[in-house]
Amino acid sequence: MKNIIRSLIYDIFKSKMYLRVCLYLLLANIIIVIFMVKDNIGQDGESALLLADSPTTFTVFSVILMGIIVGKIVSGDFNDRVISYEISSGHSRLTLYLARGTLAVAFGTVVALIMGFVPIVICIFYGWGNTLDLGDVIARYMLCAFPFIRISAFMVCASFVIKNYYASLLSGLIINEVFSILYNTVDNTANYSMGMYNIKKLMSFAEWHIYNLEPSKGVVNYCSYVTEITPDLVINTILFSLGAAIVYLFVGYIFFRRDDLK
Amino acid sequence: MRLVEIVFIAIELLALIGLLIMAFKEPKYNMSRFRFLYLFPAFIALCFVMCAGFDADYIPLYIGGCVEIIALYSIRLIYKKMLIVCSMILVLVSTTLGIVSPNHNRPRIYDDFKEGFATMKAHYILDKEKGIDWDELYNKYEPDFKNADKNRDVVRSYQLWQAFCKEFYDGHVSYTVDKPDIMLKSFGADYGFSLVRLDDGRFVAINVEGCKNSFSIDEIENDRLEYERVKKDYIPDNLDDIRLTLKNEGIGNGTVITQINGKDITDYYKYLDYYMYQYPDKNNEEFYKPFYVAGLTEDGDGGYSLNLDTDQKDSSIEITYIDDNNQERTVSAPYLGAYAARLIDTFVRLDEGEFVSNLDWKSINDDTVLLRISGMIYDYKTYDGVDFDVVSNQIREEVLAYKEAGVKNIIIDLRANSGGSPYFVQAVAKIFAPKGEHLTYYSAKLNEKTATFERGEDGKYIKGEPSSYQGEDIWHDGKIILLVNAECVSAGDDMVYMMGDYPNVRVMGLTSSNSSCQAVTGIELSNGSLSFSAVPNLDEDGEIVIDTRTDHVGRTPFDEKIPMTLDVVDSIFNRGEDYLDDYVVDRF
Repeated sequence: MKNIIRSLIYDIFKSKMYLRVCLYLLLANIIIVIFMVKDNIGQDGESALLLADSPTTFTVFSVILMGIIVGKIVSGDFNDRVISYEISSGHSRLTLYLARGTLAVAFGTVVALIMGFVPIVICIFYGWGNTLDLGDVIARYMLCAFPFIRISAFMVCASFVIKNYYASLLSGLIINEVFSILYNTVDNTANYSMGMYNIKKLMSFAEWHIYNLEPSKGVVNYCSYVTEITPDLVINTILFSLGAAIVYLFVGYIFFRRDDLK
Repeated sequence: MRLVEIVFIAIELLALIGLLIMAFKEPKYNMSRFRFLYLFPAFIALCFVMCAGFDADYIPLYIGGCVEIIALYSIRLIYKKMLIVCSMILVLVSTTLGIVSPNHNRPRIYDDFKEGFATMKAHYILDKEKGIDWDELYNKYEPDFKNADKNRDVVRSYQLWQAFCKEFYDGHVSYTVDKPDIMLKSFGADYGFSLVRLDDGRFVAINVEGCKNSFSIDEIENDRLEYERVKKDYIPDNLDDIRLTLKNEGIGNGTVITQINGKDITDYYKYLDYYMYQYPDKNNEEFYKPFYVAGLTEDGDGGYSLNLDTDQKDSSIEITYIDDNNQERTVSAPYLGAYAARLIDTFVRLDEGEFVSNLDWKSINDDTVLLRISGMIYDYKTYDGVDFDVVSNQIREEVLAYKEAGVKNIIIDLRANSGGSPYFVQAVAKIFAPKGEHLTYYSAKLNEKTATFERGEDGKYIKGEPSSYQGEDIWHDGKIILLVNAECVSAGDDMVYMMGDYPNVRVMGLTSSNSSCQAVTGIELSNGSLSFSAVPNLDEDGEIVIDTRTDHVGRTPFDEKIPMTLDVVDSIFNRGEDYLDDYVVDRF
């Protein structure tokens, strides 16, 4: 299994195309976030308001890139029948599945986290402000690693079932589009039932908006956000995410176990 | 059940049927490449949770969808078929639970109360001034909201919210719903009349069914509750036969009513748990109480309430009145429908101001003009700012033109003024204000971290910037009457407060203005919206301006109460005229 993992890692880093894709997506993320920060910068230069007002903004590129990584690691070898050859050469299906699955989940999560840090870094650069506590936001964001594990496990399961390289590559984009519609149409999307909903719950802050009537300025708006992390938020996020990830990976395996790989 | 739930259950069942067919065909055809279809029910269950949310009643469905995954193992065909049938049974069990379970799609009545209460406790700014004991309030209402939640009674929830809001005696504390049906069920039964108390103490019928220029259930004016659309659910089958009962018995607008069901009218005041609007001033509250009494219905426990049950269609009340021969008679007034529609119509006829646009003028006679100000709003561009020069310039030009034409008196009609920007008020007030600087209010200082207004050690809010304007005294030689009523609220109260003490201004109305001028905010709850006073306006001493205290005494100028007489009733409800314009003109 270690050799399989090593070869997969080598394959990823050797591929200049994928490195370029990652780089371009990172650049696109940076540029878009810079424009969004400039549009959303609050009074007194508080750019953290972007994160407060758009809790799922930073996941867009994270999930897209996660889909590309998982697709490359899992589905890339179905088309050229590498997996069939590996089975023929004596590797067990479990070994192959675990190698690809764990690498895809680990790599996808790390890449998604790095990508998602971009808005936070840019907001710090432009002036974080006092609206959101930076430490709390970073802690909440680090907790998003668990929903990312869940989402990447789902992508792994879907990749092993669909076995289509291009569909796997696009899975991140599809998930983003579907959930952006659901956020607007479904009530109460900040919960633990889905990985994306869990991320929204982690990055949503209880808020209070008020205004004051100031004779020199007129109506001046103020808002405060509660960023504290509660124990049940942490525990539920970890439990639901890891539990769902294990289920997805298990389902993917029992499908792959008897699959004829055609 | 919601449509989304029905759709997903149908898809799930169809998928399972498809799998069953596939299982039956498996011996004949090679179905191994379609194995992935056994994941389809689980995928549908996942989509169901995504789109409709997790619901405990659908756990059997979720399980039924997921157990099909077991079929991915090469188990025997008979077991696959049994699994599919089990899944179908589980889906049907879920469907049954969704239909019959009392917890299914439960309206979040209790959660709304907790959220609304917590928000008000944290951010309502007049709790000290109004003598609010939060713990007492919570203990009083929490059990009732819990009960309403258990019974899924959204009508009762609305009524409890109205009663809760009444505790504050603040015109800015209100709970609204966008479901007219709930309001129709919450303001009692219509027996064909409304009721008002004259200044001489007598109670008279007003807005009587069948009287010209009064509310008619046949043709509803001022239908803000969409009653016309749903009235067939409320009106009795024999409405046409009984509709004119009161009129036929000689009861019309202005008929003196002495008793209802053998009791004096004032005996019913104790049953008024809530109102449609808030009356912080106790005199205003006394004025409007009879309006609500006319809708009270027996509650089955020997008392009365404003709750309307649909099984009250056979009910009636005994009205004792003074007939044209000065004799006391009693008539049985039958139920005609939901009183809320007639009540709103009564408010509109009595309280709505001159029917012209905001900032429009109307010539009353050669000496007098009327300026209608129905809201302190000019347009969306100016609303959030302090610059209302466009308003000042407009008013100034018009006032100077009238002055040149020889007009001596201005009536500023502020009836049912719903408020808006205090800077708009200043822009108008300064035209008429005596020369010199006039201080209006101080803003309060805000804790920017928590976005809350905090009191200092002396218990008062901390003063911020003062607001003032320069008087132009353009109408120095003329007279002004501000025409107000209890629906003149918020920035409307501001104008009365600012202008009421000018030497050439008098404030008049059937009732005084509302006495609620702190700036307001609101929150959306799952079943309605709650609004409350949230931004203080302070005087020089740091005290809250205008709003009443625990004495319920209005704190805006009010120079003359226009008498509520039979002439007013006749003018408004029989002849459809604006009595107050004519009365006020003579008061110059």
